[in-house]
Amino acid sequence: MPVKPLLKSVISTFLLHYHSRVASACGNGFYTIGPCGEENLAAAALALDNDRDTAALHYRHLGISLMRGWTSRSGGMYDDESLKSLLLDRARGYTVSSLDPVTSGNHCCLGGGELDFLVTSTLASQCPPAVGRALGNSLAHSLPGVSSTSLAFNKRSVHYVTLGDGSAANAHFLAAVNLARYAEHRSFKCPVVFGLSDNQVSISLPNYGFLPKLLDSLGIKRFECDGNNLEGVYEATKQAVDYSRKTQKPSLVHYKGLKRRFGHAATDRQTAYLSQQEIKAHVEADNVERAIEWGVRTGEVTYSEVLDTLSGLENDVRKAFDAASLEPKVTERTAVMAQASQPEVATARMLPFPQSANRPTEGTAEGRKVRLSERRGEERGK
Amino acid sequence: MRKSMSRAIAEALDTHPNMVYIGEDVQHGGYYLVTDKLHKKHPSRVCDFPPDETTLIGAGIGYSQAGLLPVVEIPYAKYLDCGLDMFMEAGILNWLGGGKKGTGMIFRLQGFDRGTFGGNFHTHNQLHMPPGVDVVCFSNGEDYARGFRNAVRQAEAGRVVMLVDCTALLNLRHLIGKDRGWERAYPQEGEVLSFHDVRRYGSEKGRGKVAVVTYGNGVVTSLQAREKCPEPKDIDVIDCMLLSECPDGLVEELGSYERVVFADICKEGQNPLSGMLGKLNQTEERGGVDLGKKMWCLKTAQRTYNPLGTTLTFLNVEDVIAGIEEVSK
Repeated sequence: MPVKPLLKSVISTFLLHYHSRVASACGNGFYTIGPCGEENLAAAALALDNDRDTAALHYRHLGISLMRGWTSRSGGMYDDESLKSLLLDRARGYTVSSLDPVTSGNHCCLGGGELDFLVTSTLASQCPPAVGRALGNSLAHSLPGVSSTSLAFNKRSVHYVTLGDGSAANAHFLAAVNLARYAEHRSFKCPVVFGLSDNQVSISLPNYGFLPKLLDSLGIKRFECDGNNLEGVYEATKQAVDYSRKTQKPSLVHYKGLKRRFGHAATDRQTAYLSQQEIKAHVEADNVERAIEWGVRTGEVTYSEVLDTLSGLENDVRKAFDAASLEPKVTERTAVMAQASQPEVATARMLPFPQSANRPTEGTAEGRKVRLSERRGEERGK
Repeated sequence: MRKSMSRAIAEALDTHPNMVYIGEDVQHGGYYLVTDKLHKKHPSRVCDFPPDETTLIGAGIGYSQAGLLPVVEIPYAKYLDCGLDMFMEAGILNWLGGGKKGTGMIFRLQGFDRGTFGGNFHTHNQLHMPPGVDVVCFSNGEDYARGFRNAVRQAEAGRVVMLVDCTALLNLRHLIGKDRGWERAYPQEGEVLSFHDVRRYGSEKGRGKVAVVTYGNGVVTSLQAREKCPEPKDIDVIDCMLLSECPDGLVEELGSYERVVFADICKEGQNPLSGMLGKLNQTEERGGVDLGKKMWCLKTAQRTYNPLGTTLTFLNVEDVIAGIEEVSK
């Protein structure tokens, strides 16, 4: 695995969230749902074929989005300029700049690539369309009269979609898994991979150990790993993606043991439902620190290099927010209204309505007279 | 009408190799035979899904993203409620992406308003019309076929179009007595209805004094009501097929009338025609018809739920006659 780029993604993930909080406190940022505690999921992006696999990423999975975006944008070279442009794009999302490539300033979503699909802020609704992409793509490639090159996805694409353990309670996730399993049972190709990050809490509601029971009951092929361990995350995701690509069956990766840090979002009153000890334990479960330790252990970086990287990236992220917050926001009603739909295809009006020359308007007394006589004529002709 | 609908869908399947028709019980021909024989002709493109509208609609979204042109049939209009979040998501996706790329698809909302299998759940008469979805309702097979062609064209360009099908019209042949007044010829190739077209049922002798604006079942109801009025030739019925916004054609037509009845088959408070009143009330310079200066009234279905075994709560002929009388004082 490319150690330095991974570390930079992990660190950038944290810094982006940190600065989104600062921006919000300054009145310049409008989205503070965090990725903190889940930074090391970035390694999952390396298990995807970013040129042909699709992804729809839950809002906590900024790390995966960054790593995937950087891989694509840099052609796998991981140059600093590409990363900076990504950091700027993310900052644009947080500050609702109209130059945000993902939503043009309408919202703050992860995505931006051709094969990225947007996730709304309601839970788990990204799951059914992901199953739809998997099913639809296989169907599309099998249709005569449809050229494979005209289709959006490669024939062997895998469709990755992520969510959190809270979202696993949601009917949309359960329904999507059900359809994927049904498709598998009916032998329809459905190469969808669900990535489930488990931090055992759904805003203020703890999981109470229910998730393992739920996952057991789903009957979907499952791969598990410690969500804090970069190598583990990569391995498990790779196994799932390879499995689904090879067998064309659905699978699920369970990223276990994550600890959510700094609450759900800036507005979250963690102290109302977590004890001081619990909060302290979360602070100490620092995934960025773990990633750095791992990186140094591989021998590819030193602590001193990481320190330089950290201060460099902090500078880059701050500059990105400074720049993005000055960019134009959404200010024109007509522009937002136009974005509700693709433009209407111009269709010529049919006025005056064509009616055959001797037929009076349907529904009128004259019309009825004509038709009655026509019918009598038909009957006489028999 | 049902046969024209089947034919229009078949025509689209024949000419668009990437079109796929998905729904519940559509392979055997559907609850109203609209997809009769289509599965036989296109076995891999007419597909049954299990009865869960969330995943049916979600699949439709994914199909569109994969490059297919999906037609998603909701077998009874009420069941759209069962998959409502996914339907809303289909409507919002274009905006969410800043308008860069559409997720074009067609919804066929079957089993709307009064029908043979009654009761609330099979005769639903309220409509969800979020921004991002074009909602249309045709009253006859000829217009349906023309309108379906437009829907396909718009969906190919990335729009989401929902066609609302009134059950009572599917097999309707006669308007008054046994006049075969509701049978229509299938339209010629190339006849395509714009969203902004409306259709006036009037007299060859010129415009009447009262316009009854309606759609779907309301067109037949209003035409039947007209015949019971003292001066039927004074009453024109305008079939306003676009429901999600006020069509240009309606503005063009209503300028000529001083008396207007809006006859809406949906429940009061959630009835599409009310959504057009703001625009129609504007002055002509502002694109309206100065509705406030006209005599107008609104007739709707009752704001309650529909009991089994009766059509009590639906818009009926007497309602429309009452409306005509009100504006004619």
